[in-house]
Amino acid sequence: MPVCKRAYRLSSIYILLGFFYVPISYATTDWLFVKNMRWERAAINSSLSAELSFSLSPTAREALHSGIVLYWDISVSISNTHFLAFFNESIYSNSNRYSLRYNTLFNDFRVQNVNDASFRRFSSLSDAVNYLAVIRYGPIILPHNIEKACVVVDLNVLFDKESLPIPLRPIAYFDEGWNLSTNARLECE
Amino acid sequence: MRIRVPFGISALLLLGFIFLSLQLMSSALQEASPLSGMYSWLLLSNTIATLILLLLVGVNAFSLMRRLRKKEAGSRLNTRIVLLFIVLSLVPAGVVFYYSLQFLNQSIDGWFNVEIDAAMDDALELSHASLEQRIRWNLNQSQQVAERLNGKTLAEATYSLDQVREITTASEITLLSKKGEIIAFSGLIASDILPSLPVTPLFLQVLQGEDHVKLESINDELVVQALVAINVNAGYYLQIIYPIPERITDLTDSVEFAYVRFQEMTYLRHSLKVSFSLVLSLVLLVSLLASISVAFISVREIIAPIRDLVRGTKSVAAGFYEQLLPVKRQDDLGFLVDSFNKMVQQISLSRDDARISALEIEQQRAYLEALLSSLTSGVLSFDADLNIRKANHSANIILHIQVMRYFGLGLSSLARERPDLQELVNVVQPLLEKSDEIWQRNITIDTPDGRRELLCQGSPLFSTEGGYIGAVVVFDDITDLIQAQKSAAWAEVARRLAHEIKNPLTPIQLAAERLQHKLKDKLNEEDQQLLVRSIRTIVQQVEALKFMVDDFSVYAQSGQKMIENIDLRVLVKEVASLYDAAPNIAVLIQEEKNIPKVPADIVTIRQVLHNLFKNACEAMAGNGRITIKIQSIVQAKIPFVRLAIYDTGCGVDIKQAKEIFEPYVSHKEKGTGLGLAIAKKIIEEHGGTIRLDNHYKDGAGFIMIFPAVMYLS
Repeated sequence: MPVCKRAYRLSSIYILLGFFYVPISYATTDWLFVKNMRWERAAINSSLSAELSFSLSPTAREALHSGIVLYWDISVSISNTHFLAFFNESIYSNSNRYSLRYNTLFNDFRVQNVNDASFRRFSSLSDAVNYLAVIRYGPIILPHNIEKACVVVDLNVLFDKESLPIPLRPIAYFDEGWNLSTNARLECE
Repeated sequence: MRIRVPFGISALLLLGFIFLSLQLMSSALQEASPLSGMYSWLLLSNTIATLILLLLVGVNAFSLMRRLRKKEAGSRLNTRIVLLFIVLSLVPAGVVFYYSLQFLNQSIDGWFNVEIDAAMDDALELSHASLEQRIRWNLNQSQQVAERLNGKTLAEATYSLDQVREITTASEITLLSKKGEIIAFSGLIASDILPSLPVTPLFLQVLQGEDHVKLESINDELVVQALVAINVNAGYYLQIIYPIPERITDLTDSVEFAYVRFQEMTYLRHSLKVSFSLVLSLVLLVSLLASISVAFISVREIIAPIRDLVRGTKSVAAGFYEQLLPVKRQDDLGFLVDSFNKMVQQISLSRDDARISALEIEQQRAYLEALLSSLTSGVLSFDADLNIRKANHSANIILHIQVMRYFGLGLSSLARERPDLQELVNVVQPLLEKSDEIWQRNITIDTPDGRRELLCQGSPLFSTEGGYIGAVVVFDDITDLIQAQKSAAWAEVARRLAHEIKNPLTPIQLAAERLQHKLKDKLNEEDQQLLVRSIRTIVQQVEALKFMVDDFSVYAQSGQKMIENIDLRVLVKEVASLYDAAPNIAVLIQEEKNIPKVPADIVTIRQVLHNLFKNACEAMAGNGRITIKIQSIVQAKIPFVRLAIYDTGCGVDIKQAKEIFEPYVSHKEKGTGLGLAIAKKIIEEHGGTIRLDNHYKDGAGFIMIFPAVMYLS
């Protein structure tokens, strides 16, 4: 095989790996991860609770104190299992968008549920993120036909980098300090 | 199968996409733009498209490098134009890029100078101070209200709440118990029955004896929440909500917004620089790639006719003149291609003419070659430096040397291999060097076939312009001709001698015998004896003269011969046996097997053999060895029988060797000198040759060659 052809192939592989580098590094963060997650199944009302280890990186903290609003999309989905995962059927899903901002005037932090515009104010950042770190969903009413069947519970906490100011967005994809997303799955619960 | 993507279309499509993407990115930079949410995707797609374009350009550049390394036609021009495009685009774009970055950095830094930063801090501090003053004033006001209500009963206090609220311009007053229970409430809006702010978080603080005041927000409107104790012992508390004037709220919001915005911008300063630098770099890279792509696309159009020309040139160089190049353009290159086509047509016509001329020349050369080959005369031609240039086949035969091996060498090179040609070189070379006149010389050379007489004629050669271009030497082997002339002359002499001498001999002899008969009885004894001796001498001499005349007669007349195929070995053995019988003569015969027969007259050949054996015995004085060699040889594919006779006698003087076969030449006292001449004549009448073997030094050696039967049949 000519050398040039090998070079082409190697270059292509490196370019593809380069594209995949971002999503690969996306999941490797120490700032946010699911400490524990519990799916309590009941005859009528089931519930999901999860506790996150939630902290802000210095980068995110500096941006927050500079008036930049941070957004997370916290979603949960429950689906019945199938031999092929592609054919899993969603039986419950819920998503909430939360924002965290620093209020200069009041010198406090405000966590707002964007979906219903409700908010809570916290005098310290740790209180605010602790509020976000506790997730509860319930009661969840499952259909009768799958009350005893295996279900998959997915929890996704996605930091919305696209809500950052435009100049910050390209950098956020390459800066580890902005990897503030996590997810978890409970199989066959 | 290799899929070829047209570079021009791909590059143009990518460039179009990149420019569109850049335009959209420019719009997306505005926060209010609906495209702002797509900024990252636009940037990513732009980057990917740029990378693909870079890859395409890289592949083309690599291909160009490869063609440049192979020194393909047009690759150098292609490289120069591409480099020119790069320089022409990179220099201004680079300058713009550099100063844009400088301007951008300085501008962005200018936005965030220290004065503005301090002003923003001061404004925020002023805003905070203003609100603080308002809060303290409201606290003071609340404390005064608490003192006023102090000492009143619960009913009185409840009753006076509305009045107090109106006096203090508060929006809400709530009377709380020690446990935080609402005892009474007075609000600006009559329908409100509950306070708008919860008290629980602050109540514990107030229970410990500290009045509390705090800035709060209700429905995005600023209010001051004050919590004071009315009567510590009785355990009643008062929460008063004061609205902040709308103007102050607006100003505070404005200051806070500006401050937050400024903080945000300050934080994003570095990101802004990076982002703008990234976009500018992208634009610079795209501009560079665009110019390189345009260079590659446009150069292809320019190079195509040049490649056609090179292809055409190679075809012409390979001898193909039929393929004309297509004239696709009407510009200078098109004119060049058209001129090339006309030139090729002209060359084609000229080549046809040249081919015809060459054919004619070749035919003439072949004709001359055939003519020269058919000549019995040897021909040698020389160039201007007198080196041998050409020789015909007869020259090889006459000189007994392959002259073609010496083409390009001087005539003297012949003598190096063949010293016996030195005489020829000594005579001819000076004549050639004169090079201005026609000359003729008779030259004698020694060859393996014996001494040969050559008639040489030389002539200088001149071109049509009159320049000296060489010389030509024509030579004939006239040995046989001279010999024939001599033989004919001697034959005439012999015939005349035989006729003129033989006739008077008989009368002389008869007259002498009659004179003896008449005078015999008339003379005394002494005179009688004298007469007898004289008459005997006369008769003997007349007899000798008769023998000599007979020899001359034999030599002169060409007798009738009975030709038949004879076995030369048998004849030789027959004759040799007569001489082998002599006591001191040894005859040694060396013969090959399968000797072909020879067409000859056995009588005359026997006479030749007798002559040669007799000569050998006389030369050896009756004591010696005669060696006879009979061989079958082939010369020029013609079979011959070679008969050699060697003796161990006194040999032949080298001075006489030249004319030993001429009549009346003899080194014997009693010889007539006709023996070898007659032998030569007889052999030549049989189509053969006889010569003296010069290389034999132990005596005399004669080599005879007879045509064999196969040749004649």
